[in-house]
Amino acid sequence: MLRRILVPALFVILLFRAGSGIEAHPLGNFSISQYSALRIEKKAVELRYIIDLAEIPTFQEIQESGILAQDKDPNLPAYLTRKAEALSKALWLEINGKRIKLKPASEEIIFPPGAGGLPTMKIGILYRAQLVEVSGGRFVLNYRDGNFPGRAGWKEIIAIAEPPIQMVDSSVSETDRSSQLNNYPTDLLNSPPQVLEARLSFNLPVLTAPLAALRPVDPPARAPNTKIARLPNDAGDFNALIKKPVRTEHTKNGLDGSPVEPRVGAPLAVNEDQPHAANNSPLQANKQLTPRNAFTELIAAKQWGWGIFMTALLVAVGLGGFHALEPGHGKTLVAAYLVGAQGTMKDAVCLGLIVTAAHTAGVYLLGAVTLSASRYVMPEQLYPWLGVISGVMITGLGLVLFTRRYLGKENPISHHHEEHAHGSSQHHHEHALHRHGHSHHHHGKGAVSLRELTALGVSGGIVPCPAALVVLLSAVSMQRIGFGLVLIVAFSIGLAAVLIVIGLLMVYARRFMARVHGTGQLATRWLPLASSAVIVVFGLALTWQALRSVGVLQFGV
Amino acid sequence: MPLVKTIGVVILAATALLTMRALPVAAQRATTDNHIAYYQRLLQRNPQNSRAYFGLGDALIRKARETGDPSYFGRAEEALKKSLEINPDNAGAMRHLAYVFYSRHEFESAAVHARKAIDMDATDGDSYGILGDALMETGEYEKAGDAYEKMMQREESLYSYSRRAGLKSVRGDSAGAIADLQSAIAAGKAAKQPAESVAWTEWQLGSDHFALGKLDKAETFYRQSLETYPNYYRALAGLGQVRVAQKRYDEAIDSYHKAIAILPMPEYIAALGDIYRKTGMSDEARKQYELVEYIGKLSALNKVLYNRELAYFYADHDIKLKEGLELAQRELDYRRDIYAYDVLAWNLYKNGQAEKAGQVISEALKLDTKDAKLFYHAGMIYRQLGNKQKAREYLNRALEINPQFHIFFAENAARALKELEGSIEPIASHLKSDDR
Repeated sequence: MLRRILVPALFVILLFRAGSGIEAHPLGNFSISQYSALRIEKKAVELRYIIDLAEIPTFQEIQESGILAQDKDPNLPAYLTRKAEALSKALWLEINGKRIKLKPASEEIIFPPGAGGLPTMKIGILYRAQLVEVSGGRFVLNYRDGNFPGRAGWKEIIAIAEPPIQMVDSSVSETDRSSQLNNYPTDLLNSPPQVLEARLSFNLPVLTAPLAALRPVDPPARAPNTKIARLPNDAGDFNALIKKPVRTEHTKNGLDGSPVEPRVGAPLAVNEDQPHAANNSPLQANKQLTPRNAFTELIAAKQWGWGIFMTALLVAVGLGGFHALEPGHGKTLVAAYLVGAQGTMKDAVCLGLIVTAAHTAGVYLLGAVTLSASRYVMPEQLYPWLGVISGVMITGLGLVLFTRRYLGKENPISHHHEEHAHGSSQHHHEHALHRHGHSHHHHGKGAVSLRELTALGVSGGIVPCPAALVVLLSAVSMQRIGFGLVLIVAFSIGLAAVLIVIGLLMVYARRFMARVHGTGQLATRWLPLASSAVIVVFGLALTWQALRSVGVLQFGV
Repeated sequence: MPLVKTIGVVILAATALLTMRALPVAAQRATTDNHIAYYQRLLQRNPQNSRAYFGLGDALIRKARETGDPSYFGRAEEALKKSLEINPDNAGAMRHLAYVFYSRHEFESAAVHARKAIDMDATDGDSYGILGDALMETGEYEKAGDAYEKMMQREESLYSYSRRAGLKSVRGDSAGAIADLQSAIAAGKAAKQPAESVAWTEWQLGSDHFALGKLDKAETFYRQSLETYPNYYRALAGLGQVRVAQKRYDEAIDSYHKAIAILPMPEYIAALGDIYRKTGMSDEARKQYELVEYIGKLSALNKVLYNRELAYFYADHDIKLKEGLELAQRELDYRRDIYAYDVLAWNLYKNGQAEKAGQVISEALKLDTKDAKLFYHAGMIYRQLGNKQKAREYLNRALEINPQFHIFFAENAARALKELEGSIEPIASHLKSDDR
């Protein structure tokens, strides 16, 4: 769980330092990724070809073609037809030394937003190539993608043989590493593939079955003179085209060498050389985690009106709330403490607020430090130290609680349970007993001391969440500091709300338990003890984790 | 029995040592991609191999240089840090880490890490080299010279010679720089250094010749660079620059297009736009300029490296002058080489602050670097200040060094000079009329 707070936080900060900031495209703003999936069928080779253009090449493409980065641009079908044709020129497919022409069967395009909402684009084209001399035996296929030579990006080719064809040998993998350029795994041990060529050989078993079985199965609807129903380039309704790719198939020669008229359209007809469904899923935007998230993107929005401002605030509140639900964030702490310390509703609210305030302050502080001191201290070094500080504080606090509870020298609080904590005289009495004089903060049932609450809240909240920090820093980098600060506050309000709710739930849960089990050993002794132990462990883990990232502890693990 | 054990251990250790020695040599013959894959395989087998992480980091840095894709630097950093985590005494990894910081324009961190690497292994000349590089960028030329001196005492290689060449060039010793670059190429070829490193040096040699107006030689070396490393984007752009100076604009356009297809560097795109404008294709020019600005916007989002280039672009094209000045001022926060001062002076001048520009430009001229652009800027600034004599002197020097130093500014300089020497017509700044 800790890993899940600290690691992404470090990650984000590292990225900030790396200057890649809100780099949207995982492979850089100027990359062009290319993906080819070859599928060998009995009478055809199908090529699913996808290109993924990052922000800069997308801009260039838009400049050149005059299209709009919108799915509904009426010029798209014509553009795609041209593009499919143009791209096919540098796609070299050769079987047994003979080049085979790739014919586009369907095209699609999407414009996933990239950095700062700037468009990127992804084009998917399904090409088909008919195998002319189909008879049993060994085939050697060479394929080369000559588009965008030298341009950085993810370059992947896969090849699959459809039974009964047997792949004998293939220079490329059968498995797809990027799920059709949807997901670029970019860990250290897997760098982007740079495969632009494939060489494979496959066997088509000698046909012992009646030839007829291998003949194209005529689609039921086909009449001898059926006209071409729809071609990609005369499509009126482009969306329909995207969702249900229309494909055209042209067979020059049948198996027996006799000319066969073009078989066209019939997108619904199921026959054996229908492209495989899995090979054909619609294009999707990149899935993998990029350093930007919903919150960061908010600040990168271009135009600023009141509507956007308010929406942004609301979204920030919501995100803060959701963020509080993610693991970490002192939530566990709040819960553990309140359960153990017989906290009240007020305590829950108080603790939630303190965590949030500390969190906000932490973001501001770290942001300021990052900006001003980035020349002297690297934030990725600073960050874990904050972790160490809060870890040590939490551990200390937990230990104090634990010993006190263990020795039975409970803080004055535990003597009175809800049952007899009503009288105002009691209040005065307790005030006098209390170790510190913050009478005005002190509250009636007073199950938890404010100092403890504060210490806990501050240490729980001082490690700011990366998302909030990213927002602040990107606000600064975009010269919208004021707005960034406001957004952080909104974020924190959301955070507070959820933390408080959780705290309240804990208080109720404990009361409920007390009611069920009575106020026996469990509630008065073991529960507080266990909860302080949880706090200690939490603190130790946090410290350990932080020390490791500082580099003080060096374990090979 | 213990004897057998001991012998076994010794043999094992010896084998391991030998393999490690042989390892980089074997890997060198392969391409960078194979190299990366090779180390990744090693690490999949044994994730505790500090040396393999170092090798991976090294290969990733090379990949970053080859492709111009900065994301590889991020990965290289990760790999090098892993290497150091496993073996904190790996001076090479520390040195490479310094280089990653340097590439990212984090010059202070680069210097800090280079010094750490030197502390770990004072015999390593490259660490001194990277320290010198960082010091050059922060304008500490004296200290950089010292570091390079120590580097040269420790090794004479492609890297050390080309670094010293850089310093000599900035200090105005063009002949010395060219000689060093030639030694660098020879050393690189002898030691079978990676192709891109040799190609880079050849490209640099071409650029140094171009700066002196020796177009034929520049072309020769750019071509050599392309032979060493086919489709090298720097050399393609260099060739484009030569073609511009030769006024062979069609070929220049072609060459820049090729470079941009590989790496859309804003400088190249701006230069391409300039050629289009020069040849009257204003629509195409506008597209290129828009692309430059678009990249500027993106890099602002990403906080990346193009501040200086953009600041030059804005000032050169008389657009977004305020933004350009801000960028130039910000650049000075972390970079204080002579060009940091030059870009600031040029932007101050364009923003009507000739007085300040005059003070700043003297910082850029202090080393007497033989770069026509610097003298052109100085000349224009002094002309604005009414100091005709200095203006004439600087403009003359600009044109002496390279009569074709820029597609527009060479002519601008000549006209300004004529005007200063008594001719009549005032210059209409070529680029000013263009309001987009």
